[in-house]
Amino acid sequence: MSRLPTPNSILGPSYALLPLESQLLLVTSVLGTSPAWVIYSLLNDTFSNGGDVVLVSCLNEFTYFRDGAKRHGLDLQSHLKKDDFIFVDGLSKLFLSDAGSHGPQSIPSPPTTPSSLRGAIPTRAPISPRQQAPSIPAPGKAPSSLDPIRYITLGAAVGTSAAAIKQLDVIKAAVQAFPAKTARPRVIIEGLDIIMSATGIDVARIEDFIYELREITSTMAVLLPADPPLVHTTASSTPLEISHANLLVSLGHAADAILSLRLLDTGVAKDVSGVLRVTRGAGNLWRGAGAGAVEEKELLYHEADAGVKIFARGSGGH
Amino acid sequence: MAPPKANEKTVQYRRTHNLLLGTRLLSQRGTPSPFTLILDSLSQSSIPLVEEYIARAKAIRISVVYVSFTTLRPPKDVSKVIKARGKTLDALQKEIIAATGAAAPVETQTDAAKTPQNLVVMDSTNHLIPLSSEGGGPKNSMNLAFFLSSLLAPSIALLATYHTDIPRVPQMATTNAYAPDPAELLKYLCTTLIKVYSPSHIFAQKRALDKSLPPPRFGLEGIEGAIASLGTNTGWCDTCGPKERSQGLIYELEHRRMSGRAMTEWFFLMCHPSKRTKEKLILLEDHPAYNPAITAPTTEAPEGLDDSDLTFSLGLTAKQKVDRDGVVLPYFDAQSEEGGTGGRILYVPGREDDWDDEEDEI
Repeated sequence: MSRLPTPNSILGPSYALLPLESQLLLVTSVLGTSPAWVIYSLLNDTFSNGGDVVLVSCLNEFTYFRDGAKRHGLDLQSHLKKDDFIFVDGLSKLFLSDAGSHGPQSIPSPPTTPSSLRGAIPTRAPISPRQQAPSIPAPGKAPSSLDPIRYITLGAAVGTSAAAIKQLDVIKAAVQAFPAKTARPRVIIEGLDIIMSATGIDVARIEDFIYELREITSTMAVLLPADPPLVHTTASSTPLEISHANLLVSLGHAADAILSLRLLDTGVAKDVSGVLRVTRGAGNLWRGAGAGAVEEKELLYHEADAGVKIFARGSGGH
Repeated sequence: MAPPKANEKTVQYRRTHNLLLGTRLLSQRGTPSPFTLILDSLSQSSIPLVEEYIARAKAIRISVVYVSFTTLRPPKDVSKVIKARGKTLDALQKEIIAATGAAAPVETQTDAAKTPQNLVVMDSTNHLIPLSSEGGGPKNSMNLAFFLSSLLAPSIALLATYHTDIPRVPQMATTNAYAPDPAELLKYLCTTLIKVYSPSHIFAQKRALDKSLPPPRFGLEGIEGAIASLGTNTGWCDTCGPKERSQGLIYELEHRRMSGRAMTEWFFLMCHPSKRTKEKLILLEDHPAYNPAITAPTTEAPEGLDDSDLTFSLGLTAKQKVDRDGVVLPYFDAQSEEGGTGGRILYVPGREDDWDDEEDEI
């Protein structure tokens, strides 16, 4: 029913997303191109293979993905109930305190480590003292066996690198919440840069977190913006810009494939949404790697209500 | 750096000397290089070269210790994998020395001193630098130079990769403003410096430079929004499939001898051994895609006429040649039959001639 390109049509026929290998796909986009269809395409592939998947977004709420996926014939709401899909919302409660869930048990000293605040946007957290967030801040009720929508809540941890990174453990917990299967769950993360810039977590810690997460997942897709100001750093770049470029390029060095979405070089066209460039990453180069070779290519894509079409230049998409 | 121009004069010398040195460095035989630093970028990863090092080390039974910062699936031929993520430099140093120490007693045999017994491979020195005191690591952390020199016993060779395009997050206050950048320090300390390039990018730049065009730009400097160019990590081969083909790459090697003299050379590491020399490593200039003159002598036209830039053909087809040979030119008659006997005039009188038998004579 859904008309979404399969990972094979994007990454080449011989490349397989294996159940136990920790594969990493880096999806970059620029302003004006939305990588959401790549997410839907990966979700669709996971569901059709009977796998589990965690979608983390710090840019959009669940309703955005639900509505977007529905346009492409993918019913995310039903998958939430089927226990093979967990959505981790890193947007709606990111700066809220989770104090309401439990009584104030301990009042930690307010974060006073300015050195860890380098490059961070000044925090907007309320000043009222609140508890240190527990490692799995499931707000309200105690988490059921498989809580389909979970929230990243920084609460008091904003600005303290060490405490804030702990809040990301909700993603790890979500991955581990699935019943054990032969295939490890997949993870798709969008907007990791928001976490990094909003909380002042060191880029090295974010990277470590990604590697820890990769160890317990099969395929991991990281979506990051790659607009020129965020990639081309100069001596006068801010620490935030440098951190972003650092994260992006570091992941590019570890990725199996880099999928870059950009606008059409020649301008806007009615029947082309953008250009997708697939290149091989270093992770795909090891001779012993079980997955086949990623095939490099440059395709045009058109995102419409009827689905997403990817086609070669000149073939017109028909 | 732009690829070098093909140099006919020195290529013969370099083919014997530099290629031999390059092969020995790659096989870790004969010429010791305690610290080899590979600089790579998103356009070309160092992995094919590192794998070649590991494969050759295994062939001569050098034990390989892989220090992994970012690699989750290390190569198969490795004897020991050390996970370096989240460790301090001190802990890492102890662990590497413990892993390599097992082979240390063999050091007594002086003949084998030239070949190391251990190859320590480090997958990303970018992640090593922040641990050290130069990179703004935790308090009382070790000096990078000290860490590296503490590892380097005569029985150990170090092979480390540095990703040149990852910008380093500046560390405030902890670093000495007058100290060199840690990456520069690594480049200074190493005995062999290797820069890897993607073959298709180098060939495209060479083709442009041959026509005096500005060379195309690749990778992060290429098209906006695409952080890697086409041709990234794809290697170059006409016969192999995409997976095998990507084992090929071009690298620029600078080896610093103990005397201080440095040798610089560009190599092409092929994905399969050459049929002639049974060796994967050749000079970049010996690759036909880089230097078309290599294959030219066999295909060149015998006339030696350079008509490559003409819009019409100066040559003849086989049929034209046969037809031309068949044409009998008028003076051939004279030479073959009555000709050759003297200066006779061959003339057949026509009807209109007023012929006088007594006066006229043929």
